Amino acid sequence: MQERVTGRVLVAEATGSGRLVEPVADAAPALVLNGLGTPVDVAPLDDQKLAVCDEAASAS
Amino acid sequence: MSTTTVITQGFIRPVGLRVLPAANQVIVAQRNGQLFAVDLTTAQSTQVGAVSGRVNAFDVTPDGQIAYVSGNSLGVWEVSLNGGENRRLVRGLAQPMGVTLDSEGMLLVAEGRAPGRLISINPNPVEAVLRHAG
Repeated sequence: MQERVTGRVLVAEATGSGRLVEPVADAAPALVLNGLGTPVDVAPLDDQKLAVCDEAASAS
Repeated sequence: MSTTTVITQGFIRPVGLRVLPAANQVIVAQRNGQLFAVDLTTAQSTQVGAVSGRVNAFDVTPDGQIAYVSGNSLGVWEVSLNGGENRRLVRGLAQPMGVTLDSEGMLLVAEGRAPGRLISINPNPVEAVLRHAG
């Protein structure tokens, strides 16, 4: 998913506690947010928010 | 600082979401073939469509009237989200794992196992074209 305002590419990972990360060339991805449970999809909701669809209970 | 807010909950094995900004809605598809519209103002969730079979992926037209759903036994179905008829577009695909509408309204479908084709489908009239075979 590509963020609208900054153009950053963000990826939802279902591993671990469920993370939103930004890929970095030749390095580990940068953590944006964790505790998402088991995210299966992510999309821009508006210019400020992302919508994440979570398969399991969220860590809130 | 990032904060999270639960808009709604209770979906059963959702496979994905599509945001419809004009309608202030999010469409969520479940693995079991049920599709829901979530009103972002009220957070109310309403079933708006269904298909009989296990769903791998889906996409929605920008106007939110039609969903395209793929699944191993389903092939690709066009699902009405406004109470109309559903119809099968393609069958016999090899584990269709991804389906997305391009900017011209063509459907792109990726197969998850051999022959691993990328297929484009013109929903009106239904016409499938092989784009790439891995």
